[in-house]
Amino acid sequence: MQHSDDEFDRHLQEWLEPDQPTVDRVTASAFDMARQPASAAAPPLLVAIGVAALIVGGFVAGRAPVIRTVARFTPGPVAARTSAPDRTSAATVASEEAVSGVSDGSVMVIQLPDGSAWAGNVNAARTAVKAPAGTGRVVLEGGAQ
Amino acid sequence: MTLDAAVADLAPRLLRYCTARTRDAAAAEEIAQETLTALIRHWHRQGAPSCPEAFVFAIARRRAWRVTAARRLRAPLDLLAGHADERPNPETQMLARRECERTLREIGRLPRRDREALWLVAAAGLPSEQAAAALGITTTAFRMRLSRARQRLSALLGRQDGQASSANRAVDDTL
Repeated sequence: MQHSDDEFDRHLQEWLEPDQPTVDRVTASAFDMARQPASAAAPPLLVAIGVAALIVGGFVAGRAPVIRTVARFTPGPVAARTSAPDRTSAATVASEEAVSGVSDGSVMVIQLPDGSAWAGNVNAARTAVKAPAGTGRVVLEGGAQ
Repeated sequence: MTLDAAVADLAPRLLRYCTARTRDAAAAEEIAQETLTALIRHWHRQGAPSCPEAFVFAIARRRAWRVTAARRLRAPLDLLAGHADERPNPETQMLARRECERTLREIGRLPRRDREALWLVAAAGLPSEQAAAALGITTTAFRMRLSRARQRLSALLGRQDGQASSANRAVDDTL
């Protein structure tokens, strides 16, 4: 088996054996190229990657205002997550009138004296339900306090 | 070993290996020349590599892969553009000796790891230790891979011989 393997290798090497002028030419060229300073030119693949990066970068830069706008957008009161029957974004109640609300820790639902309801996040509840200007403050009962 | 002696020893082996891999004499020359240039530069700057064979064949392997991959990518475009030249050039004609071409074709049909092992040993004439170093695997693993590659190649060549003799018999029967 070893003998036939060796024979196979020998045949293959004979078939592929380069002629001496070719060997000399390759050797001489290699020494010549090694004497020259290494080329600063980037390989074609790197150039292609660089060009592609520029194109993609340009596209992203062109779209940047839109992306920033989207990133800055913050959703309003999370009313969509509540099951409140009604929602008033700027409810006004009489001065010193007490309103009550229930909260699950993040969403506040306030039952207003006129029967409607306001829903929003807990922090927004303090400012969203206002007393008429100059008439005092609204007392919130429930989780918003 | 001096640099000149190393280059003189490695050049024909590199050419054989690259010719077997690319089946293109011009590409093989180019890869061998670039690989030897890398070896000479390394030798001048940092001294001789611990195993010059492993050093050059690891580089040649990567470059040959790039050449064959680029050729595969270009082939459909050349065909579409009508640039494909079906006529074999003189070097290819020289290479296209029937048995050699057939053997190389069958080696090319082996799994990638198997054919790589065969090219390094059978075409380049590297000992198993150096071929294993070029591939970055242990000698034992390399020997197993080489043995498997030889068995598979033998089966492929044997099957083709069987088919050829069946075809010849069929022709004889018809006549």
